[in-house]
Amino acid sequence: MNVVFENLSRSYGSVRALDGIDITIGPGITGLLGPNGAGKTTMLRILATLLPPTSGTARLDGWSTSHDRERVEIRRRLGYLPQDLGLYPRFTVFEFVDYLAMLKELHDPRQRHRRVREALEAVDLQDVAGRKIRTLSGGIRRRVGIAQAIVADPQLLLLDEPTGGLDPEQRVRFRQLVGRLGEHRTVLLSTHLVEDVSAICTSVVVLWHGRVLFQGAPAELRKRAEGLVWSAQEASSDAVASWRTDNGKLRVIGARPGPSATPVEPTLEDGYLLVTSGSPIR
Amino acid sequence: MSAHTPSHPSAALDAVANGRVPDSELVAHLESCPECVAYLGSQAKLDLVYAWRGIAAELDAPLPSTGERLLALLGVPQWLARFTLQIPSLRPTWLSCSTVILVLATLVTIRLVPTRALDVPVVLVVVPLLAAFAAAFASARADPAYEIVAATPLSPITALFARLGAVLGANVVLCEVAILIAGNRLTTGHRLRFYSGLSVGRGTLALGWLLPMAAVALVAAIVSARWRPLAGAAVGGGAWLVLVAVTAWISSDPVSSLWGAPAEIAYAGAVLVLAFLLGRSSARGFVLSPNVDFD
Ligand SMILES: Nc1ncnc2c1ncn2[C@@H]1O[C@H](COP(=O)(O)OP(=O)(O)OP(=O)(O)O)[C@@H](O)[C@H]1O
Ligand SMILES: [Mg+2]
Repeated sequence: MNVVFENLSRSYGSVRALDGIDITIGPGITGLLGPNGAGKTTMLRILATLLPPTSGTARLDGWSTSHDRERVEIRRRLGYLPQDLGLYPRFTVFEFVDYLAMLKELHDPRQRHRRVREALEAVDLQDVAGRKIRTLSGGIRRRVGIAQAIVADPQLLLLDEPTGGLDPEQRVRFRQLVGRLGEHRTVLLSTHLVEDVSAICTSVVVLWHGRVLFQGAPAELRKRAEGLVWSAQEASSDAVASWRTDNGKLRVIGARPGPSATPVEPTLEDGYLLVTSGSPIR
Repeated sequence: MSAHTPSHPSAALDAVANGRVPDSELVAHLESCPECVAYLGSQAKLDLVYAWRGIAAELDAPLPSTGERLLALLGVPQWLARFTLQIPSLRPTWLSCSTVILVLATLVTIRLVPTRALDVPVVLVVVPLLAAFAAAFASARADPAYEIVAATPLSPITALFARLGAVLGANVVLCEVAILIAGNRLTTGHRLRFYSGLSVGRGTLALGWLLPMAAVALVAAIVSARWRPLAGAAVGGGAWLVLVAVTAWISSDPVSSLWGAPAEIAYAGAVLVLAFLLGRSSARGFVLSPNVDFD
């Protein structure tokens, strides 16, 4: 599925959460990176057809989210994990995912139950299928949310901070799952974790104050920091960022902090920090 | 299979692979042991992993609830029944509270109206209030999973009117019972019997109280679709209370001013307009409205 934003803006009162977004996102796994309040959730909510844009349009395979009938077509192909996940505490895990599968028009009970079971196995929840949701921990609830998002085999998967609250083992498992899903679908996931992006995303969009600062492959984002990352004893005052690493030295992003500084290989995080710093360097 | 230490029932698995039906102990073990499921799959000619997944899914699948079965009798499909029942104002606790409030209102009405200590029958005032709360807490935003549910292809109009219809239906039944009781206990010919429709004869549901109740519920539904359930209940219920208070203050005969024919015609007009407005706004299908704070 192709996602196209055409000069899309969204305001809440005087706050401009998205400001003139003009990008196209193709199949594969795209990571939405950005600080708190950058507009990631707003963007995903607009694509999930929950929130109308203030101006401009969002199209998915040509269907506009602002058009009543086309919106239903989008919803038929959509899997969505919201950031604030509300579940029914009285339901069992299986019952909840089954309920969402029903609403996603899987009406044949046997086939649907099998799909629910498969979705639960995909997130390793088959053993708690019969547990009431109110008895589950936060990370497990998150996985229930992921299971309901994938149960109807969506073409477009929108995941708002899917790895929040997952333990390291489950994060790895989640990456494998999304990697598999992203082979034939469009997956858009928002995250604060740059590692998530470097581990699975084929492309990355950096949002900052409602604007797109970068769109491209993760390797390209990393390249932005090439020649601008240093290992040094001291940081210069105009450094974009600096922090002490486990070898006792400072890792400095920005202009060469001093003659004794040695250049180091940039990471994706360096590229991200540089792009979002609004720094005049480059 | 080397990994199959004594805790893995290899012999029993081989028997099942050869066609024996697994006993309950083995079923329980298979449920928690992916290794044995895989082993079974590798031993059997059939695709047992696939088959097992089907069995496990059926074991985990919930039975329809009583409410769902009731609605099924009325021809409501299971998905719509389950959807309809996921609102706070159809929970048994909610309905019990409504019943208690109606019982109290009925008792007060029976005691006070004949003594003329009270001009307006309390039960007729309470009915639209209950409906305002019930309708507000049947709105999309009262559903904890509204963000996920709204992103499914379920038609927003179906969603809205299924839930609103269900809560109003439940309230109509409760209120009709309360008003029947109150009406019957009052002296024959008392006006309440007329305004609650009882003078038309037993079993006739001439519902003078129904139109104000519907109008107030629709106001609550419209407001809660844009803001939040509590705001909807407050605006709908508040508007009704203000109307009652003002009428009681200025009218020498508040009962006929509030429930007489001219008032009923006004309520009917309001119901039509409000239902149209509600339908139109929900057809747009965005649960998060364009210009209000929703968090
Ligand atoms: N319902 C709302 N009412 C008013 N302002 C809002 C609302 N929702 C979001 N905003 C504002 O819009 C901006 C973007 O918010 P959004 O939730 O999209 O950011 P985000 O990138 O998802 O942040 P986070 O990483 O913290 O989840 C923020 O400034 C936020 O305060
Ligand atoms: Mg967010």
